[in-house]
Amino acid sequence: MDLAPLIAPMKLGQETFQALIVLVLPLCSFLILGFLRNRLGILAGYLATLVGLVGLGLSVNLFIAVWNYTTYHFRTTWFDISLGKLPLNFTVGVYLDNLTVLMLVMVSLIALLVIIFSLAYMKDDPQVAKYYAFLGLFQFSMMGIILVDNLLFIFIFWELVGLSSYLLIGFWYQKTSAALAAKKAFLFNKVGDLGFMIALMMLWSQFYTLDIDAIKFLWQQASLSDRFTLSAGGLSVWTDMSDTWMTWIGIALFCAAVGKSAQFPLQVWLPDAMAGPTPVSALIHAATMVAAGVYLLARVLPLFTVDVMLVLSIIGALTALMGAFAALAQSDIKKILAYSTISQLGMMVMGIGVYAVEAAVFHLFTHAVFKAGLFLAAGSVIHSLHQYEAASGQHLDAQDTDQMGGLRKFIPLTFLTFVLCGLGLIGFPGFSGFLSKEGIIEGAIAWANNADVFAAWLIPVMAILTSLLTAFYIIKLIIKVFFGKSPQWLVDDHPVREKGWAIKFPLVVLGLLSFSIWYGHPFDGHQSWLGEGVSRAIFGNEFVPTIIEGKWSMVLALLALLAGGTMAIMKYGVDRSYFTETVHWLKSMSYHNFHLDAIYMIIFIRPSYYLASAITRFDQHVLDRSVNLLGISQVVFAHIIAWIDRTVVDGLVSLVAKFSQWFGALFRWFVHSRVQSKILWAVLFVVLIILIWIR
Amino acid sequence: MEIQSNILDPIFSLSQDLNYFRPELVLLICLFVCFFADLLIKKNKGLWLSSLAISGVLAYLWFSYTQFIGLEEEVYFMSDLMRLERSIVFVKLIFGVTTLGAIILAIKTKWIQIPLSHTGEYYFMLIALLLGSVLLPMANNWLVFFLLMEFLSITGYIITSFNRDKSSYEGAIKYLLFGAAASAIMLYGISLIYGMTGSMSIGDLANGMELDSGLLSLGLLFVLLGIFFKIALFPMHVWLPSAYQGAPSSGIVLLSVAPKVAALLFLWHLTSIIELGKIGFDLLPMFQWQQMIGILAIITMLGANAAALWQTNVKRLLAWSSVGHGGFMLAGVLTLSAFGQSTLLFYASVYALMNMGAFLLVLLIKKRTQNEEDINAFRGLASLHPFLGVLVTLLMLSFIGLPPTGGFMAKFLLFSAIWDTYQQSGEPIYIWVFAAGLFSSVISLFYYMKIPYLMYFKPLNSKDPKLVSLKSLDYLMMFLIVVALMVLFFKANWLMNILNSLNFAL
Repeated sequence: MDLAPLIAPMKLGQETFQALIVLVLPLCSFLILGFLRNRLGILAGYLATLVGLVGLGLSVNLFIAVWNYTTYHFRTTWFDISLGKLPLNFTVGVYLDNLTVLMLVMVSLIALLVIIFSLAYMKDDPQVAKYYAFLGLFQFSMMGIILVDNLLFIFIFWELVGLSSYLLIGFWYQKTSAALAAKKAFLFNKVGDLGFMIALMMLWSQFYTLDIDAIKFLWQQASLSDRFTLSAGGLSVWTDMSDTWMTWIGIALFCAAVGKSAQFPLQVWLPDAMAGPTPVSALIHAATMVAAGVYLLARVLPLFTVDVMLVLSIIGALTALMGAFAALAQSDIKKILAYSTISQLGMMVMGIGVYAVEAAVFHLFTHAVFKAGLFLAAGSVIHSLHQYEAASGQHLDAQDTDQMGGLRKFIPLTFLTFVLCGLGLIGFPGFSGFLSKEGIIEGAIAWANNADVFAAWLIPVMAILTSLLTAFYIIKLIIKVFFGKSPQWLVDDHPVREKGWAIKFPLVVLGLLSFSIWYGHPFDGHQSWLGEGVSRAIFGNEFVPTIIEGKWSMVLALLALLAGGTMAIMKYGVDRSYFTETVHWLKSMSYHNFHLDAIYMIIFIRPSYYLASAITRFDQHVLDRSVNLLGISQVVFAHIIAWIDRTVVDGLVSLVAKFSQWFGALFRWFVHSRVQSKILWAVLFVVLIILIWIR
Repeated sequence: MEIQSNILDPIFSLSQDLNYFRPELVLLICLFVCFFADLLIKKNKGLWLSSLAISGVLAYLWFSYTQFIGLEEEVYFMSDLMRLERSIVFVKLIFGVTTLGAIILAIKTKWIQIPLSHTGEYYFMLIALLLGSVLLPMANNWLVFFLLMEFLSITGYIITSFNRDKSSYEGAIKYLLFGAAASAIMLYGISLIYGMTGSMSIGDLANGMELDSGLLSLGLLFVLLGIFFKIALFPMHVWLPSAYQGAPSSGIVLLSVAPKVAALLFLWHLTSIIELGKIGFDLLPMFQWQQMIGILAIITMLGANAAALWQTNVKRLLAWSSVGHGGFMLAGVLTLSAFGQSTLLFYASVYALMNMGAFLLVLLIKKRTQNEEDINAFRGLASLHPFLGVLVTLLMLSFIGLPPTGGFMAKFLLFSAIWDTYQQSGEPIYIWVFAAGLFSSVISLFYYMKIPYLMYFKPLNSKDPKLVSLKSLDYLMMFLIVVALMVLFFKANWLMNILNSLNFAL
């Protein structure tokens, strides 16, 4: 099999060029805002909005051009140092298919709404231009992940996304919690990225390219004939491409998604990341970046072996349940939403693991919409309370739900959005979450039904349990924040209000998009245009919907969410005193997210410190000493050489000189200038050479 | 009619052969134009002469380029006195660009030391050096070869003495005396070869080989020593440090590249003829040139890099580094394969570029310290000129042979070529050369990094002035050189594709 045609350059077409523009636009925004940040002032936000609008327009245009029509691929050689010996040809390009353009529109849309929301939310921040610049950098990197056709470049943008996430979490770096959270997010992501890097190396050693299309094709060929040679740049390499290799590659790739999409056991960074500005949480830590892991899994899906899929479903289900459980006892409004995000990401990963990929990607889209809506609504709550705080001079924690209540009268639009998006989240019939989540649960049940082992039923059970808990905590949250009596601190002379179109407009859009009517048949996920288009991108043209096991899976899921919802209403709707119930070990478990942070502290962080200090000591006492010794010995050696130079070499020269002096006054001229002795030396060496080589 | 045409034949063929000399003829014309302009023009002499010289070299480059496009295979002409192949035309281009760099540097020095009346002579000498360098690899006759070697040497002596001060004269006289000795040895070697083969043509070397005589080997060795003197290789390198110290920087830019690479290319030709001659004599005891050249390359690389460690004078440091790079390129000659020649020419191109950058740096530093060339002039410079600091660091990385620079690619390719040769022949000498090359690259790290180290980590002497006249033009030149070096890393295959397309003697 020849590698060269698989990675041959492809022409830059009109569509791919447009995609490149979409990619570069936010980067321009980043550069302009970054360089002119001190001079722009209020203009910065409008500039970012304008760029976002253009980007969205182009994305929608691309969507129309590509969706269910064809795919476009542009590829060029980045650099080639093969030189006829080693196959070292690095390509880069842009690949457009249904999945790509869907993600493109989603990211552009939510980024635009978040930027608009930030116009009001970040108005008073002194460094607002820097904020929009970082948002631009983030959007550029995210678009990069979506558009490029090459795992190496996905990795590069992957790291850039990590960087911009780090910058934005730590945007208010004066707060210690924000700085620490940024560091934590960065480090936990690095653990996952290590897996990505290992996957890249393994893939390269097997396929000699990182182009996704080429790898998929080669792997397909490899599964037809179990081993074959790959010729690359004149060199034929025998490639093993066994299932074992591919399983490890798949698991290593999954590690990347575990880090970025906050899966067990690396999910602890996401709740802390809420220390960033709320719009950032909505864009990066709910809708787009954390979904990048799921997107990556969907892109490289054909490479996954059955074992990898099993790992995916187990980890996904576990994360979903743990996230939902941890959301129960939180009181910080953003943390509840963060744990809910973890839980939903777990659902998506599980969905991919049980081969309900189109449902998982569908859920990725719907979740992005309603979770961004929830976060922006929470942002609106926080913003209005901050305004109130500033106006009335009272001090209160604007994120603590224990201090809230009865807010629906004051901020009705926020309340409405929150309820609509919340219904989307729990998957209420008629809302977007219903279609996608039902698809995942149905896929899980079908998967368990086909599996030989009875334990496989654990996965759908966990999914349904997650669904139940989701309904419970979100309805609890709505009751706590929006119903009941107004809290005592609220005095009438400074009303709590939601202000400005910049706040309201994104809420309205996202709230409306949470209805299921936009995505096809409002009550049947199988008839959704979105799921169909996605599965066409992933599985090719033959669209086979997941096997329908009657309607009882849907009934089961509905029952679960009704049970969860009813329990929440029964418990908290009647008697609000339950909110302040005594600490129970289960509650503490939930509140501390299974004490994962403490466990990591004991298992990883402390031992690392011990190891570090031990190594430092080793370094000081053993390595440094030996290096010093080496240095000293070198100096000694140098002195010896210098001595030899002085006595032997120079001595010989003087010896020759003295000899010549002694030889006679006739040759005196021979000695005085050093160049003669040099010639003499050369001649001596020549004689030496003759003695050695010429016989 | 028959007879007449027979008489005219040589003339016709001569006029045809002159076609192959187009670039050289342009240089010759330029040479004389400069010479007469120097005598005739009185006003604005510097401007006139430098623009004449530059346009002459540009025209030469154009003709070389057309020759490069037009030439397809190796040709022999002038009754087999000369030969020409594409690799030779390629180095003509390198030399031309280097000469341009040298002339620009010469303009930049603003003749601090050289009075205006010598401007013309200086350009005359630079172009003469270029002429000799491009002709040398074309030689296919021992006499022509000897004449060109002498031509190169004499222009070299004069350029070395152009600073017109004590150290300059000292360097030049040492160079001259040593060169005279080397010429004598080489001439003796040539006469031995003539005696053994009965022919002045280099290609006829194989004739003498069947005699299995030590005398032919001795003759070859003496000729090799003459070539080594030009490349400045052990044991014929001793003249170089003081000559470089005394010579004007702009002159060394050319002096350390053109004659060296020309002689290397000639050496390549010679060794390939020896190899060809060996075919058919399955056991030839007399001349293990791989062994000898390998060991001399090892000694040169290790010795020169070690010697550079102790230098505090920038120019002497660069002189030793130039000896070291000569050793590396000599190791390239050892491979004697098509890939090896490509890597050797790649190395030469990168080396020419780096060298230009280094001596531009020397000039800048000279401005700062009023004519001192001490390495301490770099102290704390990066805090005053941060951009220059970055550029210099990259340049030094290239000298060491670290990514992301062309220096890395050059060494990487050269070592791969040596490794390949080792794999094919299994001779232990190659692995020793390989190891010595790697090791001396490590040694070189210490003295090259000394410059960035001083720039970044040493405090600024408050007495030291800024580089007062560091203009954007200086930055631009430095920047272009560094960018070119980086391009040779990232897009190394651009140049390699050209080099791979050259046709080879082997």
